[in-house]
Amino acid sequence: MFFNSLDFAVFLPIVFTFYWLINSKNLQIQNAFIVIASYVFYSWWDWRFLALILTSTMVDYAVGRTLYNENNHTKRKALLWCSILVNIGILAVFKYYNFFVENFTAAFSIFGTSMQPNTLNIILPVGISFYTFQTLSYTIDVYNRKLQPTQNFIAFAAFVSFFPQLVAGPIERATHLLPQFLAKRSFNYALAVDGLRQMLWGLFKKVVIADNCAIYVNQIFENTADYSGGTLLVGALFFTLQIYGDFSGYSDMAIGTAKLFGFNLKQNFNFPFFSRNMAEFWRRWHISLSTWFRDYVFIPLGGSKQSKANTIRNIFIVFIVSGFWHGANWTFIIWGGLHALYYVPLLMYKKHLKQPHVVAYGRYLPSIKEGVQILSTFALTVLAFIFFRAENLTHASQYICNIFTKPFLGLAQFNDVVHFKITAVLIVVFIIAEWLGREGQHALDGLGKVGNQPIRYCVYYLIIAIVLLFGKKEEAFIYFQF
Amino acid sequence: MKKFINQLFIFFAIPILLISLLAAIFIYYISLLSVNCSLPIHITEIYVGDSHIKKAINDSLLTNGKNLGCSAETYYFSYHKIKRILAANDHIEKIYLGFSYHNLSSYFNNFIYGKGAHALTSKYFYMLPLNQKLQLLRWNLAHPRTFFKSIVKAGMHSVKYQPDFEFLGGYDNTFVYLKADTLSINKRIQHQYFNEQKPREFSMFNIQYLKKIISLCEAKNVELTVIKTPSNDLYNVQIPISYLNKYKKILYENKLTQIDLNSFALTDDCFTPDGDHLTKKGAMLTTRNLIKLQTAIIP
Repeated sequence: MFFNSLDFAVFLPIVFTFYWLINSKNLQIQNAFIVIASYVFYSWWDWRFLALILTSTMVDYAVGRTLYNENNHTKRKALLWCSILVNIGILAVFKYYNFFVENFTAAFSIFGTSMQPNTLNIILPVGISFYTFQTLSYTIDVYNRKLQPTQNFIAFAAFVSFFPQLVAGPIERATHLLPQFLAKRSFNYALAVDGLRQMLWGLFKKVVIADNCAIYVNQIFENTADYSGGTLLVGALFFTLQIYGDFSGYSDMAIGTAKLFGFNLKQNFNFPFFSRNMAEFWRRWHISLSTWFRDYVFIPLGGSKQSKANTIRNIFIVFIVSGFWHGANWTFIIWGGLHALYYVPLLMYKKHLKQPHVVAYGRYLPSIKEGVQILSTFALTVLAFIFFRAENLTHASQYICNIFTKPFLGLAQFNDVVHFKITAVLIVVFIIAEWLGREGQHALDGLGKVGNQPIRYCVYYLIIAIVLLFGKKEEAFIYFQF
Repeated sequence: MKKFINQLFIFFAIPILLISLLAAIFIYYISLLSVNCSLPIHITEIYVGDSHIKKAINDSLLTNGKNLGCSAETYYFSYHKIKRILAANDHIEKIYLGFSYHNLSSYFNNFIYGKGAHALTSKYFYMLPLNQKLQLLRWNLAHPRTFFKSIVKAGMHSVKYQPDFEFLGGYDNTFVYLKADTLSINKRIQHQYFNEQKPREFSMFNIQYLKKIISLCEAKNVELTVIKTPSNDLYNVQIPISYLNKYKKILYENKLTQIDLNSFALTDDCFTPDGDHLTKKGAMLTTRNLIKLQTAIIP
């Protein structure tokens, strides 16, 4: 069930009504209801893979409880590895098995050994990379004694399967989300209204920006050889906007939906395209995943408190693993590697440190220096995203090569020129709205502070009208495949 | 919670009421415009039907005839269209209605309420009477957004191009340098007459409205002649026998006057690859053949 589907438009009000009106008095029933609703939500896609969620839930619940009472270091480590093996094992089988088999076969063929590999003919369960990482973080936190394991299985199951963020994040930490399942919730008007506002903006980003950009991205990336350098650049630019609109749109809808149920999820995107360098970009892009890798991979490896060589190694490991998390393809690995290359000089020259405020804080426009920084960071991002979208490495290198070698001028004649122009105008409107709202949690955050209700309503109606008029119909979210 | 529900209700009620009001005014206004679908006074004969008529009768060669064919037009829409045209044009004396074997097939039902029908049927929305408007809305509920978009588009088209309303159709043939092709013909036959290798059922809905057209013409004292547009020989020999029989039966039972344009031999380059539509050249020859026939019947 997609957030941008009619099914969800029916599902959400039903779940919302039952959740607040019928079950608001009993926390246990409320949590159980969330678990059932979440399983229904997931089953809409494929009920058979519920078994994987259940396995992950039960293993980590049991491991968490046992870990806490266990003081023997060896046994504790064994329990942690049990959880890691189960979760990463599920991922390995469903997501990476074929990749490894095919690459080993290719590697052996170089030495003249011919192999007939047995690849698996299975589909990738939606959201597998998200909920396995979420449950893993729980066990690791319990192991590190940062968190007391919960005794409440229903609350834990709700934490793992919470439907707004089940299939594409944000990847929540137990330290943040689990206590919310254990505390009594009451309806919060302001939170719910802000949730709706955030959902609306997320829907706009997805169906208006991402899905309209997708039309040109698919056309250009599938016919790379036919287009001029300028058009290929437009294709790369549109893909960058598409993936941002798609994924941050999903995150906004997820966070907004959770707010309707009285939950606060972590902010997953914080206007990343207004970053002044790549370090800032990674503090603003897919925050829940980058902080996950920081806390559970980078820091355990020694972080940046080691020799320069080891720090650089750690950075490359984190970015390459992060790329590989996105998909079993060399293109993602190179994408991750490129970002590591972007990051290392900043670390070396200590330019990676956190800026206190968002760019041009309290001002309407950035300074020239800031403008140049934003544009150059964005250009690097666009370049890396070509690898993210390309079918394979040959395609990516061909694409980049063509941008610089083919005649630059001569924009492609798209079938529907009017639609292309409308899309371009909508992108400009979108960027302006994001810029104006960059100091809030989401672009429409500040609108809540506008006292004049008719003005607020007019803005909402305008966005709804644009969604209805220019939005595309029920396109799948890109991050569902991860 | 109560405040939240109230605010939500108000938020949605305002635009729904406003849009409903505006839509009602818009529909009423365009429907009024559509009533005035008057044709030039010298036009006494009209050609109604689907793409076969639309592509076959080049009315620039006719002195008092006008092609009003529309692609994928079913008799349900033809009936309402004829009714509307006769009401606005007393001078129409004769109607030529496209009637070929494929018009009997249930595959035609898809053009009324099947998948993709919303794109084809929106242009008729405004000329339909109110109860049929509601019926059309009901049939297209599966695709509300695209249907509403296309009826708004059709309405705007009516405002801009009146009295050349979209539902009136007209001759349009840009097919050149094409010819009938065995593979496409076989595919076409399968699509029109077969479903999973079995002959398709007849479209009782279409047949019912054909009979309504016959009754309407009788009531209005307008002469009705059905036209079978040419189709390629390779196409003709593959039409299921049940369709041939049903076709003859309908002609006989309703005492219909028929012009069979298939009786004139046409070369392969007069047909599009599917074998049942004509190219520009085919349309030219067919219209000339039709004129010959008309002058032979009425000396």
